[in-house]
Amino acid sequence: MTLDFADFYREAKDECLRTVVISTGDQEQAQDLVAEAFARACASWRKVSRHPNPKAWVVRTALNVHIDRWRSRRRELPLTQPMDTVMRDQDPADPAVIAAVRRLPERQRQVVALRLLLDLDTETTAETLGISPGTVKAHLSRAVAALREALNLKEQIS
Amino acid sequence: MNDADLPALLRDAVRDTHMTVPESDITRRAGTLRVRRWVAVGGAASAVIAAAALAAVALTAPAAPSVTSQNTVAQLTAWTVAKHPDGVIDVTIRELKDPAGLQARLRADGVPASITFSRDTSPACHDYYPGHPMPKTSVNMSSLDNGVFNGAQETEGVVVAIHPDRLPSDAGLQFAVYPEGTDTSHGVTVHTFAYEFGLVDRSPACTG
Repeated sequence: MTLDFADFYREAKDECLRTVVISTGDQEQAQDLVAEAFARACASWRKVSRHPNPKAWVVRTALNVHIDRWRSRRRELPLTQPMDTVMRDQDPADPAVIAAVRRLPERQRQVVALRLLLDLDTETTAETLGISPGTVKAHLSRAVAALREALNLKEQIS
Repeated sequence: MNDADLPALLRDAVRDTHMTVPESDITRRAGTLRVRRWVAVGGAASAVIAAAALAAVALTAPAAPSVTSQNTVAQLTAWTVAKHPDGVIDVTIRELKDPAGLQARLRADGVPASITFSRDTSPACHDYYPGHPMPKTSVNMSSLDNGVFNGAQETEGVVVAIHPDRLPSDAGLQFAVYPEGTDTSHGVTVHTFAYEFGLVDRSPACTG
């Protein structure tokens, strides 16, 4: 059965956004990136709906989108609600965790987001990021160690 | 904190983060992307609006292709292919009939092409990405697409001007024009159509 885009968007939008927030460490940018990625998924829905993991497709696309392009196009196609305003109206994510994630190298953040938040397996994560499964494991191991250290330290201080 | 807590900690950190962009904005943006990827129609016109004009033309203005002494014109009711002395080929589509005939005509004029008058494009066709299969920038693709062909709404229908000399040697054209729905917003029923024009990899199975 073909997945309907509207149903997919309703079901996957928050999970994809949260994954990209963790991947990029930037909430405001993540909303724009994910919106653009979903728009591209919608534009190519015949193909994306057949993808083994459409959520992974959206997240990968969001990570590849250059934010400046989206903003320049947004001027031509105004959204009903400015995205920056949308983000300011929301509760910010836990600042300690986000700060710890933000200190990770970019690739480690992406691996953490895909493996631990989107719950992709190692092989799918590797395929999504275009790296080997061994590299995924190595990045995850280093990232978990760094986060453990950062967050334990934070707990001790507080 | 132990390692097993980490996924829950991450989820908890972003649990109040919600995507608030309405689906209507996403699909509207997607419509713009579709049009920009495939064809430039007078700037930022939407596929549905442009196609509605096509439908209206088809309903109200029976085909009456003009012939000039300096052009080679193939006359058919549904579409016209006009080859100009400078090599530019104009395709005018009025009704969604005989896609195979249009495809054969373009191929005979030296344009490798795949034409469908339905949403189902040939599975043998793949989007053309110069030099590398993935990925490409839309800016570069748009520039390349627009160099090869340009679409416009004319009173007689959708007119696409093709520059065969600008077509990369390993690329061909793909046109898909298909019914999109029915628009009753202005008190009359208008059948709308969408169209997608773009470059695809040249291959015997796709572009002949």
